[in-house]
Amino acid sequence: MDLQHFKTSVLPSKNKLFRFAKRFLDSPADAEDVVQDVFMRLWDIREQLDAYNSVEALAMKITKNMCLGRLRSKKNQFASIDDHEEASVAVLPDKSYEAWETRKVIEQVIEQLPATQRIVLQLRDVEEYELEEIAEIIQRDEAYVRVNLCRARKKMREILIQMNIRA
Amino acid sequence: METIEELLDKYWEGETTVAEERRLKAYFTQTKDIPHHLAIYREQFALFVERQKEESLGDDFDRELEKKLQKEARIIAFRPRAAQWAAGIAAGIALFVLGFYSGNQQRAAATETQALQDEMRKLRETVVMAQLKQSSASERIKGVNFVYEMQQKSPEVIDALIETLDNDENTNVRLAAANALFTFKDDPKARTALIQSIKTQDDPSVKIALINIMIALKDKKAKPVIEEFLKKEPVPEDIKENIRKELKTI
Repeated sequence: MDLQHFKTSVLPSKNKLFRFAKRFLDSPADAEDVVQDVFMRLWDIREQLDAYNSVEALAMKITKNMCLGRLRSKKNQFASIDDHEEASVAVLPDKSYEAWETRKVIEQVIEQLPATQRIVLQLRDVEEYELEEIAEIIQRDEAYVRVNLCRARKKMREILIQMNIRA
Repeated sequence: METIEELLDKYWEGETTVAEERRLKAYFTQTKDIPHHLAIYREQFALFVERQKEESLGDDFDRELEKKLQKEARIIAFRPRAAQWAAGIAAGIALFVLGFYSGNQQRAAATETQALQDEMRKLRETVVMAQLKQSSASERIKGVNFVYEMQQKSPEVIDALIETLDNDENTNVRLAAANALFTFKDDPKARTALIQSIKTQDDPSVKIALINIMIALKDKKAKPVIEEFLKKEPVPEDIKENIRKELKTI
């Protein structure tokens, strides 16, 4: 596989990988580093890529592993609250305060989900992968994916209902 | 068609299809007056939709990556500039050390020069060993290429190269190690390792490179291994044909 082919067939996944990495890593700069490393890894094995059913699923798998590796190496670092608020405000300049607050809570809930649930939720509800594909990416079976997806979705429902009652 | 409430119930149970989930997303992001009991879920689906649209890796990312990839691709073909650079530094250190010694002592005895040379050799070996343990493939290739700078080759360096040839995760590094080991062709250990490695490599391109080395060396001991390769390996017939032809000349 030459560079041109690599650019047209592998590189277009970059934003998907980036979004995925960002959900793990908080820092966009770190996520970008990871995505770059993922492509370097894929380039290293470019001659073997034909053997994979889906290079994108492979790329996602590598992204996930690299992110988890990074998280493990700096377990105790959390994103500062300031960063977080800034990000939310930037996304929602024209919404009501209430909507903005809800959004912030949802983002926090997602962030605090166990890693597997967060991964599955991102891959399904944001990236719209089939359960079967997610199973391939995280190397578990479909039932496992479904259980984790349900838990994540129900957790969000629970929080949203609670918020509603309080309001 | 199912109502939004019904769809939501399926959604929480993980039973909606992607298409149905898109319907939910569309409903929550495009409907003006969502009934109160449903409105609490609006932000959730709006967040999913927005997150899917996030795109922040621009052209800068592409350019930088492309540069890196090109570098990785080229590295095998040319001696990396960094290796020459490092050799320059090593030579600089040698001059400095020499100057230091000769300045302090009226004349450098022949034995001292010898000791210094030994020192330099050890220094280079240390550089090679350290470089081979780097996490980046291109750094490891640099390490392999340092070997060419060495006049005397120690058994430790040969061992390190064999280790790299057999175990490095990156194909290009393994290829570089194979080529470097070629320069040790008169060392029986290096030669045996090259032959053995034809069997154990998982990448056909490395196998073929090793076979070419053996053919260039006209090593009869490699014959059975190469014949086995021809029998078992699923490589294109024209490559095999070439190898067969060359094999007859051994």
